[in-house]
Amino acid sequence: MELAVQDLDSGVLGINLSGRMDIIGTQQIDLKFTMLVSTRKAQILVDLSNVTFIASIGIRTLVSNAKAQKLRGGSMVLYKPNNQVEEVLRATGIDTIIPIVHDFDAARGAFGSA
Amino acid sequence: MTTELSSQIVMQAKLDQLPRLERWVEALAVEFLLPSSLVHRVDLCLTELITNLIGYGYPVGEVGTVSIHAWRQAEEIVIRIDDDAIPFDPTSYVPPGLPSSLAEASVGGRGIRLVRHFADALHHVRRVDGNELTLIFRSSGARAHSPAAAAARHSVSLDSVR
Repeated sequence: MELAVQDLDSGVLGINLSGRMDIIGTQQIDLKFTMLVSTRKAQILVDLSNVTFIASIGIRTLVSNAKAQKLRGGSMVLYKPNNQVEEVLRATGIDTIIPIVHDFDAARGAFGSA
Repeated sequence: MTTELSSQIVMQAKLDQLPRLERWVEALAVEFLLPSSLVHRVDLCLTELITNLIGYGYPVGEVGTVSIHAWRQAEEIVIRIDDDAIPFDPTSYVPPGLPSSLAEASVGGRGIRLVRHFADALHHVRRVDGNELTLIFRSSGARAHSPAAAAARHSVSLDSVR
């Protein structure tokens, strides 16, 4: 997997993930992702549009970092997962604990309400 | 049993074998002419189960062998996983409930929930030297339009094998 960082409008930190988020892919980005998401308070938009597959190990990384960011007083949203990735996230109830959005305005709204 | 097509992979239960498994599923998709939604469900269930097996199936330092056999049976895709691991029956495992808040959410423990959600039926048999787990997948159309399939998916097939 690959990870790229993008400074977005309104001070939102965008993290673009791409590739297959199974155990091998998740191990490739986990440390960098955790350093970016969990070490300071921020509004984090995790762009999943180029994630082709997610397994429970990938969900584990998203949830543990979303929890850590919430403890810091910030928040995290998941942006534009493809249909299959979103189906996996919804099957595990992730959409009820981390907002899933498909446009930037919705992301801004989610940050405002978090 | 009428078998039109079949395919098999034998692999060591090691992480570096997962890309082989991924390629096997891709080849299966082509050979069996599977729709992408069904391929994804097969891919996800196998990834979860084999990752689980690698992580928890064997004493530390031991590497086992797993054999995966797929075939088409009428309108179903059947996948049987034979391993030489410690006993584990995912049909009797009760996944934790869905979290009501991020603060309460557990970090992990979602793999078997995904398998039970995305496979239409699971059957486990404990063998003397390992586990035999059979997964049944129906196409999305059959799932959506058949009340029997939906019932089987949510209760009958899973519960009846416990």
